[in-house]
Amino acid sequence: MEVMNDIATWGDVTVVLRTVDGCIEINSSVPPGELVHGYFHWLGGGKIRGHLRYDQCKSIAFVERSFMGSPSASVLFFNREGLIMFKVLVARDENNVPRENQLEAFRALAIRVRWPNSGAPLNKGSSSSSFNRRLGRNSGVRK
Amino acid sequence: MTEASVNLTLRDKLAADPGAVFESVAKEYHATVRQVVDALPGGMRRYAPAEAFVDVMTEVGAWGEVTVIVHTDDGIMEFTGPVPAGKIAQNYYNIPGRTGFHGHLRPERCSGIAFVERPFFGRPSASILFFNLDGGTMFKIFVGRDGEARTLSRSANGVSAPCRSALR
Repeated sequence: MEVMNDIATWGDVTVVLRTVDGCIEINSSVPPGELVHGYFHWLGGGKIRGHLRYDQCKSIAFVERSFMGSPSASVLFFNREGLIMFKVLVARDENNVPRENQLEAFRALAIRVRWPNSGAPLNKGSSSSSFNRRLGRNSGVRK
Repeated sequence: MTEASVNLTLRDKLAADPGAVFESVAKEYHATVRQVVDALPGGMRRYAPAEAFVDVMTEVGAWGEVTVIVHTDDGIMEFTGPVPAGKIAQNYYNIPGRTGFHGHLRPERCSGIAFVERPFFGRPSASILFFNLDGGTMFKIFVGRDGEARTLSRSANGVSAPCRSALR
């Protein structure tokens, strides 16, 4: 919830939904939402809407890595089966690298909601694996 | 319950409540979404073969704003905007673009296409359902609604045209 509503302030991001039938990507800002009956409902009449099973989300990962030769930053929402419910990718600029202002928001959020002992402290400029961190709902982390 | 009796019960259910949410009915009756759509009154659905996937998606690419809905076990996601026409490459239907909707869809996972017009939450609705090999939906595309009038002026032309060509 906290993560989703923070992302709602980032501007355009890429939401990726992968199923066995394909991979759908939507570039759009996402609206803030609210929790009702176990669902996180995106509010408003924007381009993207949805009803996400908040109670299915078990943990969240913040990942920075090279993907297809370009740096990428993404937030992964895992369900109870360990599968990805959906991903939110930091938008890329015209040089195909994550936008700096969003990357700052991404890193700040990753620290704020961090699961204790879930990864090395954020260390800009080191190997990408040190950015990766995973959060869980059972550790005082709010979604 | 036998399959025949489930189908009969489903038909009764959909005849009484044609605007029911397909996924909810499917769950309740232990049926697939495709079986539920089958049970709609005949005048509310028409089918095209899976082979029409690219034709239909290309046509949708010319419609402007539509709403795409994807149902998964983890929730429902909806996008409203244009869905540009794509191209087949390496078994994927690739929808290009860096803004709005894009992606990589698997036509080989499509087992059939339904064109549905029915009342939904008290309003007319027109949608295309792409069934997957499991009887669920890969995704659905809803014809855009006109703002104030809430009519489906596009549906008369838009939905029936690819439907006709697909059924040819």
